[in-house]
Amino acid sequence: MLERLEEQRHYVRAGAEHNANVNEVAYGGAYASVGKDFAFSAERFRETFALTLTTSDEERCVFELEGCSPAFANAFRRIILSEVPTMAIEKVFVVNNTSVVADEVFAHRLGLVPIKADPAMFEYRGEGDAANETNTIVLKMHVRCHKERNPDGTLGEVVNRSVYSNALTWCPEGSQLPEENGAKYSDFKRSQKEVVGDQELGCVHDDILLVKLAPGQEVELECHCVKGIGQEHAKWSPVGTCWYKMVPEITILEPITGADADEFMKKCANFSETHKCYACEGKGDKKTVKVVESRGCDFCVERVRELTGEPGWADKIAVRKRKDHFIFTIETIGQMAPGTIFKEAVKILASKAQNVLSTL
Amino acid sequence: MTAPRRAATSNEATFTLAGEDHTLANALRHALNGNADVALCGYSVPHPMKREARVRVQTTGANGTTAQGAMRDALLDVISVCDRVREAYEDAERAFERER
Repeated sequence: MLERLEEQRHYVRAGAEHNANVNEVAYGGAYASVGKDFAFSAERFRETFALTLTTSDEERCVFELEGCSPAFANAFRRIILSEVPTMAIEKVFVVNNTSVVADEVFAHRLGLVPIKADPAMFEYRGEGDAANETNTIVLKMHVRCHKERNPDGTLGEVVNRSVYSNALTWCPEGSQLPEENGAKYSDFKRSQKEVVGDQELGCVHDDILLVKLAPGQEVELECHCVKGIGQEHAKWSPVGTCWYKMVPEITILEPITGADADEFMKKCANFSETHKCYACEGKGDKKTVKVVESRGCDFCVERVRELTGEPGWADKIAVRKRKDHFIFTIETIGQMAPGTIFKEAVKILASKAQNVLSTL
Repeated sequence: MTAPRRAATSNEATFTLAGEDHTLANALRHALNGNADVALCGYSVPHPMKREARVRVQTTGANGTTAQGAMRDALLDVISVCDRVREAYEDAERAFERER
């Protein structure tokens, strides 16, 4: 009985037709009658929580959260997607655009280009605030597509047929546009180089195709980048994707022997030469399946899950998923390291709670 | 940010979290449910376009726990969880660097 309750509490069973035991038992004292206390407490969390980093590079990191409720894992995921600030192009001043792409379409396209700048160095720009060196990054672009003239006077190669993101150049002194109605488009008190130190601001990638031009067409514009969050517009989201999944566990409930072992290996294991999640021991009727890799792999977990739907197999093997053990993946778009984004998200959740606490 | 609809000594209250959504409300709900003195706790987001979440707390009244007190404990728990997660991530980063 107790064993069954614990299984229901800790695992989702992924069956062929439906998933069982997916619900979280919200009330902490639900298991008091059997002498079990699974209720959340901060002290217990501090003791049982474990985090291990499995992959980490500039753009992607994968780590495991153990002993963590989906309420927290999901809070981190939601914050990463929509509340960690970054810099993105918000205003585009078009001086000239004779390309086939309409101004507003082009401006939207520019907005999505990832901007390489540490958002911690900048402030949010409020409704009526002037653009200054601490809240705005100015990028300009002036490209003209034309045919080169050869020394003998004939026309040669077409240049600037494709305009890439490297055409956007940083203006640390602020807006380069002429004054209009007696006012500049920016109000920089000092060079932005003093704010950001020796780093060069600009686009994360140099090779994003922005627009294609025909000879004679020209684009001249200035972009103002501001700090924002993904909740307002996805261009401010620091990640491409961020997700977590429960850790799968392949469990043999009853020994799989003889002909069953052959069937299992045929259906779930021998689809590729390099697949090594299961092995067989013994020969003939004594042949028994052993699970080598209890988590299985991307290819075999689904095959096993489908097999459990076939007659007789549901009692023999099961795919279960731990409810409090997650594999968390963050894929950035290059402005910030994935670890920095995660730590920032954790800080944001704490500050949300702190904000509410201060008004209580 | 929060406006309990009843007195601070009451064992029931609905807290309105302005500018918050499922992110904080669900984490709080989870933390509140861990408290043995909380009889009932749930949250709702009344309208998806309005940035507001409401958290309902009812306590059993045992140990003199008021709804506001339970809320305060839950908020402190969330902060404590965040501290632990940050610590754990930094340790994991160091361990990862050492192994490489």
